[in-house]
Amino acid sequence: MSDSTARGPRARDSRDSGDAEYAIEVDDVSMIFNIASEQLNNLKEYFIKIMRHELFFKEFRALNHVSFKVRRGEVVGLVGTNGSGKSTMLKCIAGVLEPSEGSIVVRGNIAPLIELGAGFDPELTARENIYLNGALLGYSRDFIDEHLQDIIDFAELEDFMDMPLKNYSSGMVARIAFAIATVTEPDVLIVDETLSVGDVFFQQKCEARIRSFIESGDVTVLFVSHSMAQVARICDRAIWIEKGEERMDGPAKEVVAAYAAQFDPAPSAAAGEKVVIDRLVASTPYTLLPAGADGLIPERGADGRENRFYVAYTGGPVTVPGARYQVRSGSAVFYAPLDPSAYSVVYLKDEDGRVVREAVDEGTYTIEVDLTEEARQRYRLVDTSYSFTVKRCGHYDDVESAAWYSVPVERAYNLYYLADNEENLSRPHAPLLRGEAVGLLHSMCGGFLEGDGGAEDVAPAGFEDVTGEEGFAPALAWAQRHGIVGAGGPGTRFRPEDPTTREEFAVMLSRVARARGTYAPPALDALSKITDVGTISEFALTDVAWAVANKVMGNGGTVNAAAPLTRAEAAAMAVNYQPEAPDGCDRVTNPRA
Amino acid sequence: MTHDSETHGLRAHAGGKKNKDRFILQQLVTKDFKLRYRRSVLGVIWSVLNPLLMMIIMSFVFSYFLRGSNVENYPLYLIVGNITFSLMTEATTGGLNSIISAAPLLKKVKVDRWVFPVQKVFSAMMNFGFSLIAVVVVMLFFRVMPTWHLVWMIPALLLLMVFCIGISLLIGAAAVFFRDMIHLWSVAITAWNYLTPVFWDLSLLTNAGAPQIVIWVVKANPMYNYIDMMRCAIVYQASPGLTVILLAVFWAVLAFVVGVWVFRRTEHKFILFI
Repeated sequence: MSDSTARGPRARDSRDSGDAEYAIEVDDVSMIFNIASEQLNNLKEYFIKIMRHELFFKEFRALNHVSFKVRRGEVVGLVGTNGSGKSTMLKCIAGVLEPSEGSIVVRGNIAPLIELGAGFDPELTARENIYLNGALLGYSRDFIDEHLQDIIDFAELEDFMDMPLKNYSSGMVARIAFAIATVTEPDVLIVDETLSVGDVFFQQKCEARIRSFIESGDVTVLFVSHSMAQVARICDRAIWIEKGEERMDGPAKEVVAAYAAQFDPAPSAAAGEKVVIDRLVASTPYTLLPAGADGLIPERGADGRENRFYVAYTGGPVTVPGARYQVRSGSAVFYAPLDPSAYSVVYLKDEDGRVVREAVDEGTYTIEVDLTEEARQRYRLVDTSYSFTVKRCGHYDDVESAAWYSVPVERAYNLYYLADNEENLSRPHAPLLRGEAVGLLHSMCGGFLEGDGGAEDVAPAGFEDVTGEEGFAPALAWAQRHGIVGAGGPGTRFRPEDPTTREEFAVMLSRVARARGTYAPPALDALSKITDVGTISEFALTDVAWAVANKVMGNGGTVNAAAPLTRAEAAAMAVNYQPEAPDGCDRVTNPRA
Repeated sequence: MTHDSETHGLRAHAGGKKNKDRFILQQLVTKDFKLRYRRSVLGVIWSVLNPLLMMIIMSFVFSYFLRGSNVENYPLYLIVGNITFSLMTEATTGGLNSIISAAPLLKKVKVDRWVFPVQKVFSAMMNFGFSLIAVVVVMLFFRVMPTWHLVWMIPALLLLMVFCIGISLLIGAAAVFFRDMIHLWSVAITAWNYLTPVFWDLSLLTNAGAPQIVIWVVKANPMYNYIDMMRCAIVYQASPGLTVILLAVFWAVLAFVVGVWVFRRTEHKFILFI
């Protein structure tokens, strides 16, 4: 850190003042990388660039004025998305990188379980490698002599000690590396979650050893994980680093909650269908197993298709560990590619367990995550499944997915109750005009009812204010023919530009049911739970009772009968009435009525 | 960065940085040595055979057209020059690539960076030790009896080692930033080999009436001085001249100081370039 000697004395002061309760002190650390605009690998290029004054560097701050202190014996989690600066921080603490600014004091020996097996030479035997790696970790020769047997015993590789390491499987190498790194209780232990060693049994052994360090209370632990559940469980405290900045430092549970909140919905408002994942269940903590006999996960599935890394979503947080979601516009859905540096293969399976490429159709899907280590070894995450339900809904830009009416409005669109418009707006809060109301009912029935016999709907008759040229005219004629709207007569007006009241719409729906022959008279006490029965007009009473009995309206205890019907409410009532509503599309309760 | 393991002093860990570095150096040298001849039938014997075979071929060829020179015991003259020069070649070429090839290690663990170039020099020295057996064989063959002047070998080798460490630090650091160094150095070594009286003799130059400046250049050449010291100890069995000793010291100190200075100035940036 000679470049920052100005800060050196401060670090030394704090140490001399007996401030030894802290095992790690990170003081205002910044790490700056100069990214050359292009790679210059030889002198010629370098000189040419200098001559032309073209040698520009872009500064990249991997860490920006990060400060924290860790007490002796404390267990601290470090969280952040990939590329947030976590690894840089760890490498600085482990002493591999030197911070560009600021200082780091680490008291005691570090066991960095970040990159195991540094300095292993494949040509040397396991025994020789133990000494070499031990030397690099700072052990003395006497110490290794003394503990050689412990290391061999822990790694369970007694019979292979004099075999060159190149003949070892990657799991065996990892075993030895872990055994060497943890042969003694360190002062500071840095554990990376992606540290996955060997088979399940050996992993449990490793975890037990790490846990014994944690429980001893003497060991300061820095724990890096993408699994928020793990951090919340193991750590007392957590530090969240994002884009090189320290975002939060506090009790683990609070930090984890805040970290998880950042994945809250921020779907793109671009046109196209949305796939709403409305439920996401994170299952049990995972365990790791090699994927196949060769340790590789096949790039293509059994059906010959490429295994893809896509998960579709727009809605709520998808808490697959290590995944960062960037929504990009596909042909029909939005995809969120998982960061391939940490997790390479994600299987998306449908209800029948088939691997599918995208979660387009409605149904429950399961994401299975496979972990790739940076090197050639790959592991499969077993029991790591995350299921979510996809409902296909509509496409309106002014419908917030969180709004109560989003499902019925989008569904009404998908079922063609609501017409397309150029702006992709459903104007959910605007009143539904009477002309539009008949149009909606007409669309809802597909312009067809039993007994139509393919009759052409011609001009409606009997209303002074309807010329027959209007867009809703065929629907009105259809409605009249089926008795949904009165026949009219001299002097009667349809008032197509007036808002529809809620009870009027209930009457129309009820008449649709009659025309369909599905109408059943409501029970006498159908309105008993409705608190605002008094607002219902005399003519609509039976029909509103029918609507309430069939849960078309009044699900919240009121019917608000005389109020104008908004478009959102109309969609909700239509969807609620819709006799063949599929499962999973629950009847909607309008908060207003 | 301050890592004060002294305050805690766990017995597991080598007491202090010096011991740790020494152990790492020792392990790395052992590793290099083990890997060098692993799975070759003759193994370490090659370290002896190699200079011997080289000497036989070269003395066969050159003793004919170097007749004008007055070198006595040309094979011994040749083998001493050859192994000394290859010591430098091996040490510096190793040092040249040492940082780059230690990249996976430097990216993962905290370890003092200077150990890698220095270790390469030590490995070369060790190999040189075996080459000396070849010299003994030649001396026995030609019935050359060593005298007390043989002890001049020790300062000669020590100075050469310091010189090589300095060069290795310098070019090892330079190669990190400019990979061209790797190619440049092999050319430089070849040129240097011809400039140094390894298989020829300085008297050839003076007898042929070469300009004084050329003779100065050859004599100032660091490798000339180290090889001359070695030959004084083994071949001529006389004490080296004062100029030779002073120049040998001068070059060793200069190379070391420059090497250490450059290395320390640049080592913090290695990690960003490897």
